[in-house]
Order: sequence, then C-alpha cells, then structure tokens
Amino acid sequence: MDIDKIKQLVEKTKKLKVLYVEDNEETRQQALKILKNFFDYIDISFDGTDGFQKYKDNTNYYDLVISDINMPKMSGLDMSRAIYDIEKDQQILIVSAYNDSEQLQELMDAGITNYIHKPVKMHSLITELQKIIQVIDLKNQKKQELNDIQKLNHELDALVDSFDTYVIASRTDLKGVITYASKAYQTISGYKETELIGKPHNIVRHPDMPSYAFKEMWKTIKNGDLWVGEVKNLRKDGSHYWVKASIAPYFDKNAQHIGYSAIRIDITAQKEVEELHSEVNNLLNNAGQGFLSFNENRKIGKSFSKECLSIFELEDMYDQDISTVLFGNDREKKELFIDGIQKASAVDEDMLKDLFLSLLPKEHRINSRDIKIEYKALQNNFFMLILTDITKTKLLESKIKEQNQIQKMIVAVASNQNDFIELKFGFESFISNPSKDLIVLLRELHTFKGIFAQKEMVHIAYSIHELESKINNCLNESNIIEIFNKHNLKDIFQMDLEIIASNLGDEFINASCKLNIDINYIDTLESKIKELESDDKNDKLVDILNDFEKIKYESVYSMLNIYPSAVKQIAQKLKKEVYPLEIRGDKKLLISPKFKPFMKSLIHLFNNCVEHGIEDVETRLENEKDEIGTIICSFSKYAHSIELIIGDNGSGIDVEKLTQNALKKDVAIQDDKLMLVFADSLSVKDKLSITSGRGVGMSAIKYELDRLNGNIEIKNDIGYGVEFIFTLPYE
Amino acid sequence: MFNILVVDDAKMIRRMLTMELEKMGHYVVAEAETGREAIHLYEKHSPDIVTMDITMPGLNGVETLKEIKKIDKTATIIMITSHGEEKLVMEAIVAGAKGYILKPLSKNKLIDAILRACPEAYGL
Repeated sequence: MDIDKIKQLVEKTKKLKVLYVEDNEETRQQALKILKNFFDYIDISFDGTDGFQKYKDNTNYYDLVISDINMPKMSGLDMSRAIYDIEKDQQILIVSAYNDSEQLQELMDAGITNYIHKPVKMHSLITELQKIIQVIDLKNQKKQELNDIQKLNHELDALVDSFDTYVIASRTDLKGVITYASKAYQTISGYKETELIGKPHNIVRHPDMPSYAFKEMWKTIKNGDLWVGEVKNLRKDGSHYWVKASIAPYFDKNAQHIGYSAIRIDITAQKEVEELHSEVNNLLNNAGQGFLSFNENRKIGKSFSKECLSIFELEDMYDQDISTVLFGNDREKKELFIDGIQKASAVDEDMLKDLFLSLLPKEHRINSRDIKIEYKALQNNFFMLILTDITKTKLLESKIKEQNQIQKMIVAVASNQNDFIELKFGFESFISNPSKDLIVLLRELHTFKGIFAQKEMVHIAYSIHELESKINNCLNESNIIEIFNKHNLKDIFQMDLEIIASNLGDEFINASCKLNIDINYIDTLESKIKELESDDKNDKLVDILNDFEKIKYESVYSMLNIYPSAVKQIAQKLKKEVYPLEIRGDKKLLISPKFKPFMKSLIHLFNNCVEHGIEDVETRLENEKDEIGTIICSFSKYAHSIELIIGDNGSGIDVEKLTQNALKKDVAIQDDKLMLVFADSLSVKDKLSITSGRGVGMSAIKYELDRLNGNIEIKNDIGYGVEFIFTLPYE
Repeated sequence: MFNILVVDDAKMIRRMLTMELEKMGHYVVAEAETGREAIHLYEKHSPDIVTMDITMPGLNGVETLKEIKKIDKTATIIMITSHGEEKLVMEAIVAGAKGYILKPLSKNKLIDAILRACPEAYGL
C-alpha cells in the first residue's frame, strides 16, 4: 500500500466521528496511539453500557464504532446488536481477542462485517478502514443523491405550481372536451375548475370570432401540427379577453395521441391599444387635414394621416426631414423653419416654445395647392404639424376681394359721372397722343395713376405703375415711346371700362358731360325771354326761346324704355310667355315734356297686349304659333310727325264682343267699330282684374292722343295680332 | 398700471403707442428714438416694460435688448416687428425678449402681448 493511498485514506478518516469502546486501559492506550493517526474525533467508553449510552445520546453522530468484545456490564457483541437495533447500517469495527471460527461466526450472525485482532496493528486497521470508508462513502453518496432528488422535486413542484398559477393552460381529449385547466385559465375565464373539466373547449368561444378561424385551427392540429393564433374569448361574466394561443397535439407516455394541449398569453391590453390605435388612425385619416409629428432633428415620425401623403404626393414620409418635404426649394422658409425648431427645442418653457413656433411660416404652396400650416409643441421635444388645404378658401377670398374692389370702383365712379367722363376723355386722348417730352410724359402718367387710384380703378392704375417702372429702368430714351406703345394701356383701360359699363350701363360711359340745372331756373329764364319777345319781336329771341324749350326735352327712347320691364312683370303675373320687349328707334330723338302724359298712358296698351292680345301657351301652340308671344314698339321721325307703332302677334281684337258690349252699355257705335276699343267704360273683358277691366285704360290713351292732336290707326288681324299706329305732330 | 418705456425711431409710431398705452391705463415714463437713448432711459427710469422696435438705425432692437439685459437681467422687453423680420424676432427671444407684436399695431395686440409678458401682474 503506497503512501499516497494511505494519505488519501487518512484524509477521509480524519473527518469521521469515532466511538471507541475498550475496558482494558493498556489496550486502550496502545490502540489510541494508532487510532489517533487516523481519527481526529474519538470518543471513548470503558464498557458496553456506557458505550451504548453514548451512542444512544448521540444518534446519527458516530460514523464508526470501534469496540472490544469482552467487556464488563455489556459485551461488545451485545452492544453492537443493540446499536444495530437503532441503526442497522451503523459501521462497527470489532477488535477481537480471539481468532476462532466460532466467534467469527457469532460476529457474522450479529451482522458485523469488520473486525481486527488485538493488538491493533496498522496494516490490518488500514485494510478494514478502507472497507469501512468505501461503505461510508457510498452511504454518503446515496444520501447526497437523495437530497439532490428531493431538492429537484421541490423545484419541480414549485415550477408546476407556478405554471398552474400563471400559465393559461389546458388540455382536451381528441374531441375537444377539457381534461385539464390550469388555475390561470380558471382565473382569466372566470370559471371554476369544476365548471371547465368535462366541458367542451368552446365554452369560452366568443361570438365575434369567425368560425373559419376555428376550422383552420382544427385542421392544423388534427394534422399533427402546431397552431398559433390570436383568439378572442368569452369570460363567464360576458366580458371578453384576448389571448395568443399555441395549440399542439398531446401524447400520453406511450406516445399515443390522446388529445390537445394549449398554452396561452393574455394579450387583451395589446389588443385594446391596437383597436384604439386604429380608431384614432381612422379619425385622423378622415379628418381631411394632414397631421404629422417630427422630433427635434426634424425627422418625421411613423404616425401621420393619409392626407399628408396626398398633400406632398409621396408614398411614405417616415424618417424624412420635414423641412425638405415641406418647403423643398424655398430656401427662406426652410431656413426660418429649421431655425425656429432648433430654438424651440432648446428651451423648456412651453410659452417660449409657442413663441418660436408662432414665427414659423403659416402658409405654403405645395404641388399647386395652398396649404395652411399650424404648429404645436408636444412632449419630449416632439412637434406636431396640422396641414389644411385652403386652396378653395383662398380662391373664394380672392374672388370676394375682387368683387369688393369692383364695387368700390363702381361707387367711386358712379358718385361723380362728370368726373369720370372727363377722366375717360382725357386718358383716351393721352394714350393716342402721348407727349414726346419725357418729363411731361412721366408726369402725366403719374397723375393719371393717382386719379385712377382715387377712383379705385386698380387694374389700370397698376398697369401704369408697371409702365412707370419699365420706363425708369430703361436706359435709352429713344426706346421709351416703343415701350409705351408696347405696354398697351388701352386694353387694360378697356377692361375696366367694360366692368363699369356692365354695372352702370353703356350710356353711363358714353355720355357727355352734363350739368344739373334746377328746372325752375330754366322756367324763370324762359318767362323772362317771353316778356322780352312781346316788346321787341326778334327772330333770334324766338330761336333762343325754342332752344330753351329744347333744354327740357327728353328722349323718346328713354320715355318708352320703362315698358320692357313693365311688360315682363305683367307677363309674369299673368303667366304669359312673352319675348323681351325691345324699343326700336333713334335714341337721340328728343321731344317736349308735353308728350309725357301720352307716353305714360301707353301702359294701358301694353297691359292689354299681354292680357288680351297674347294668348296662353297652349292656345298659341294649338294655333301653331310660337309659344312665346312678341310685342313690338318702334318709333320713327318724319318731316312733321313722329310715328309710334305698338303691336303684338296675339289673337287680335275681338270686334264682335266689343260691339256686343257696346250695345249692352248703350255706347254709341262709330263706323270704325275698332275704335270702340277706346270708348269709355267699355271693355272686352267681362270681369274686373287688377290690371284691367274698368274700361278706362284705353280711353285715357285716346284722351291724351287727342290733346296732342295725334292720330291712331288700328290694324287688326284676328287670330294673328294687332298693331296700333300713333301719329304725333312734331316739328 | 405699468411704467413703460417706448422705443421706436418713427415719431408717429411712438406717439401712437404712447396714446394707446396711456388709454389702457399704463404710464409711459419716456420715449426713446435710438438704442443708445433707450439704454440710457432704462437706467434712469427702470420701467416695468419696454416696447422695442426691432429695426432701428444704429443699435438695432436686438442689440439694444442685449445691452438692457446686461443692466437688468429681469427686464421685460416686448419687440415691435413687421412681417419678414422673423429671424430677428427669434434672436430677440433667445436673448430674452418676452414676446412680440406684429405690425399693424392694434389695441388688442398690445393687451395680449402685455398680458403674456407679465401674467403674474394679472394674477395668472
């Protein structure tokens, strides 16, 4: 036996707790000398009883008991037996004095397997100790293994418990009936274990889940594959929860497919966030405005509304630089924006941030659309943009502005017609013959510009302004006339004139300068001259008197021009269709105011034309006439008279009826029965209406005509219309 | 309510501002035509608020503001600016201006700007 092995042995034996029982002192001492080489812990007893007592008092303490056989009170053998009763695996080494086989047999019967002879000798002790150590080692090993297994079992139990508590797990048989449901499953589903075991798994199926989802699942797992999916489940109380489930076939310990097992994760919270997210997205995307956010480095975030993509005409915007996307090539706005965002990011106070943001560009034209831009500071140095398309609004605004300007111009021009006429003539002659003196030319241009600006005629004023700039930038004097002519002020002026004409009438523009004179003044002058004439007959004075008369003259046209709108009104009231009345005749023909009463009385005639003359649409169509009737009114001057024709293409005058009425009312009948039209209190109409029937209207015309010494000729074409031809004496 | 120093190189603007501010109940302690004058008058009167035109010949509004802030870092200065001067306004704010008013001036804009510059005085 080599030294190393012995050393190894001693290493092990030193730790052992030994009980040494020996009654003989000499033997004891001698043995101890050797034993001390092997053991550090040696308890000593002098006899069996004491030894046994010690052993009893310290159960599981002694690794090894070394004992003599022959001892008083209790023999080693008895002690050993007693010890074995307590601990059958106790290691006992007997030191025997005898060598005979009978005793050895006794020892073996008692269960003792280790013995040495007295006196204790090193080598035999070593041999026995080796055996003993082996057994002890094995025992310890086994104990350790048992400990380990127990520890593992504890851990496993804890794990299983944890699993059961926290993992939403279940198992079903092949038909889907629940065979196991973890505590977590019970908790989340709201059912107790007893309410789950034995029930079909779809006890938690939510009606919102489409059936094809489950069909797919079954198909997969029946095929032996793993199925993973998101499932909405129904809790016992009716509420819902979402899980991500992994379902797989389940095998027993004989690898038989006996059902399915599933584990799940609760994803209800994520789902809620998803739903909220998509709801919000939906709102944003349909708001018709662009929303986006970007960080202090101007990188656009992931969330933005669809409108943004349409505004910028991009497929995606994430992570792009907002300053480039928004302002592209507009360097000034881009720089201002970058500066502003930088400064807003550098401060903490919201008020200061808002102050910087308020200085950023509020509007920009992007891809032919006018976009309004609003800025908001968010948390963590993020910023939000709200983009609104205001193209239509701007268009409307500019239209309104334009309208307002036109109105201003009309008011300014209309409030002083003479001024305007003067201006028009003056400018027109200026354009056609501009001064060759440059200084004068510029001065006149400038003056006209000012006057036009006063009159709110902005187009022409601005055009003159542009011309002034062109001239001022021109270096060569000789080119100036060329520039002047090329600039074509005439067309622009014409534009403004047309607007004025369409609002105030052509006559307004084409009038000549007028003076407002009080008629009384004219009358006074007239009577003064008349007085003169009676004293001193003078042709010239007669002439002047005639001229004075003529001052008061008015145009025939304007006297008659009140009737087109009157006819329109009457036709509307009576629901007759009539073409707009056109007054035809020389607009420059003027007549004395004495014709006015006659002219005014003609309303009755026009009235009759619409009411009695023009038939209703149906009648006209039946008679194959144009469904819209025509009323004519024209006048012409002859050497000594004015002829006025008023007619219609209606039904003509019913002379018969007229005659009958006359007979009824006992009115004298002339030869020309048509003239009965003018008879007092006679009317073709049987009933009264607001517009006619009293029989007074037409007679009023006759009365006025007679006062003027005029003539009337009636051309009546029954079924086709009538024409009234008035002849008024006139010089 | 407040003692105000009005700074603008245009007499008409100064007059208009003074009139409006006094109508509102404030007291205009002085008017300055240039930046230099403004600094001097600030030292003399220590007004509660300064209205400062941004573009002035000589020391401009921003430079004047910086100088005044050196004298009194709590000075409340409101910039008066026209469209197109945004960069200068930003500089002014960085240098400590408490706000700005965009021309054309109006009573409401003045009220608003003063309110934002001194909310504490109104119990906010």
